[in-house]
Amino acid sequence: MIRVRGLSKEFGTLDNGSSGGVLALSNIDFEVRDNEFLTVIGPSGCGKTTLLRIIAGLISHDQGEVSINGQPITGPGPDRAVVFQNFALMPWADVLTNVTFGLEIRGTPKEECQATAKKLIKLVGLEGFEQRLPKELSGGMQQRVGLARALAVNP
Amino acid sequence: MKTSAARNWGLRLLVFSAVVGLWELFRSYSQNFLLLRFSEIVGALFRLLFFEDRFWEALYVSNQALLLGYAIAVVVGIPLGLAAGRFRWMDRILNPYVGVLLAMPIAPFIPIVIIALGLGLSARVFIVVLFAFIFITVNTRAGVRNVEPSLIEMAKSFGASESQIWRRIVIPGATPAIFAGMRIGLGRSVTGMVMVELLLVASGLGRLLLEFSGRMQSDLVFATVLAVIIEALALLTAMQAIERRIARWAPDISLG
Repeated sequence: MIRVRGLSKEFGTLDNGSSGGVLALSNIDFEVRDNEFLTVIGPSGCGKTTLLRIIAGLISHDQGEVSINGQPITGPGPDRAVVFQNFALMPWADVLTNVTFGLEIRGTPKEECQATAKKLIKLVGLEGFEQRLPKELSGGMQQRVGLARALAVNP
Repeated sequence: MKTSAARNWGLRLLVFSAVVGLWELFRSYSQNFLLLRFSEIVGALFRLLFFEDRFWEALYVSNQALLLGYAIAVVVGIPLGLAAGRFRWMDRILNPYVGVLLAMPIAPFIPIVIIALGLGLSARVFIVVLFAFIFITVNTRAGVRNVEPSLIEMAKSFGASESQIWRRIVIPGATPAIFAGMRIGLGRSVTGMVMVELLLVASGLGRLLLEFSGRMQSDLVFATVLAVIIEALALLTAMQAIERRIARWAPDISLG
């Protein structure tokens, strides 16, 4: 379960010293229980991505608590995975290598990586495309690769 | 695919013929007795390759400086570029020196280097390194900085360590630019090698050029230059073949 209490995040002043930072998040409270889906909607620039990056552990927060299963979030972890808005696929690697990336970083043995990856590639409907490069895929297909990659580490 | 390869060679032959044609045209209008027919230059090249032992000896001597200097330029230049690309503090420290080395003509410094290092191989190697390494560094740095930041963030989101980020994201991502820098560096190394031999150290191919031009043997002068060009082309082609196998993924924004 992900728990967020009183979360605030302000981005600091600009380098040229001009006035005031940007208050991206102010006093956010919510919980996401196991097997629950939460959708965050809002106008562009309202702080949705900032919230996700804080939960992912990519940036710090200023006030409040963020925790997952009781553990405070201080950085990335094996219990969370991110699917990126601009796909963030390695253009030099084929679909299979991209999907196994997260597992390989964590030191999973190669056969297990590939077996898991192939299952998930099939799950997202990209079976047969394992050797293709990202530039040979449509946007939607690339996004599915990102999804498979995130699911592979079993967050 | 086959027809386009034939078409490529056809185009190359066409351009080559045009160059030779322009050369002959220029010759017929100019009074310069030192300019020769292209066939005479090619004939001189054959004489150079097959009848002059001095050529191969000179080639060996010059290439010592070239290959050693280029290797050092690569070994020094790439890590500097990687560091400047990834670590902002390093970039800020190096920045003024990079600007100076890019703009500054190296030739005036050759006498200073000779005084410091003597007339031997080390001086020639040093000059070659000076000519080449900064271009390798600059291109490497650009390659690192052009790696999509979201890729690095993605790697961090999976818990990658700094060394994993280097090995799996930064270096593969910067590879095409690094190769571009290495190609430019090779060209610069050849220039540096010939220039120091022409201007001061009088060994190897530069010395041959001085001898031949001193005796007004312009056919051999041109032939020697042609030989240098051919060697440079051979090395560049080899590098291109290596790059094609390693960096097939790089985006191709050229037309046609």
